[in-house]
Amino acid sequence: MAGRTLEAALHLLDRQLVDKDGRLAGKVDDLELEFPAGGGPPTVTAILAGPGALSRRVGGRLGAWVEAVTNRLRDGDDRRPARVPFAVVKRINSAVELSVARAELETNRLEAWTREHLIGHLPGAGDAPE
Amino acid sequence: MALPTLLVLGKLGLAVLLVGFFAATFGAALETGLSCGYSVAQYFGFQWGKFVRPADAPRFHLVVLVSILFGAGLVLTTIDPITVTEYSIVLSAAALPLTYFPILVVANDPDYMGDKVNSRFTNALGSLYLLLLLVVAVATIPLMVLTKAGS
Repeated sequence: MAGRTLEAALHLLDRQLVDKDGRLAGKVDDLELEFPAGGGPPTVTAILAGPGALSRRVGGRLGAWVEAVTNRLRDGDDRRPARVPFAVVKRINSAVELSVARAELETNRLEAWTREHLIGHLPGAGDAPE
Repeated sequence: MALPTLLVLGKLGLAVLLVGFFAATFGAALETGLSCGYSVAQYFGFQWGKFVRPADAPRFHLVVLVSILFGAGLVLTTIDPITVTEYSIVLSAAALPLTYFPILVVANDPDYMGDKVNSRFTNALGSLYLLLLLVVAVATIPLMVLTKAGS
């Protein structure tokens, strides 16, 4: 496979995440990097997505507020942002295509919460369009 | 508008007019609600659209519902809707370069555009139009203040 140089900030950050069924699964809000013990360039180990990751990029009072709200909505004491292991990335074009369904991703937590507590209760929520 | 219609066209005319009012405001409410949903969902990368079940795009539908409620609440404050419309049109004109410039950038990105990427000629046209938009954006707020929003 011919090498294609990607610039992390340009070709990954803020791109759309698309799951294996073509459903939209959030944006690449941040990247988890690992620095090899012996030195050398870092490798991307995971995509961080969702308000937990975005809030740290926004920073300041607004970022702290978003992060607090996100943590409040979450079950348990887990404070880290939603993580998508880089191993499930299938292809990188204008969007980042994943090889799993979005229901299996941590980034789907708020979406699932909204469905479970709000939208799922509305009449017609499960109706397929014509 | 309703009273002159009643005088000229009678009760039947008024009924037709009221149906028209309802259709126009109902349609506009749906359109603006959906438009807010699309913008927010696209920005954050949520699943959106009416081609999936609402349960499959819950956050998109939540934004749509909240925007319609917010709009209804805004009207219920008895604020003059014509004033709101005038100011929002002026402000959207002032913000045009901010929405147009990113599109021009994407039009130059072969990742997104493939072989349809902008040529020198289309970029020249696009930049010319950007200049025009900048003039409009800079002029629009002082003009609004000077003319007191056209009153």
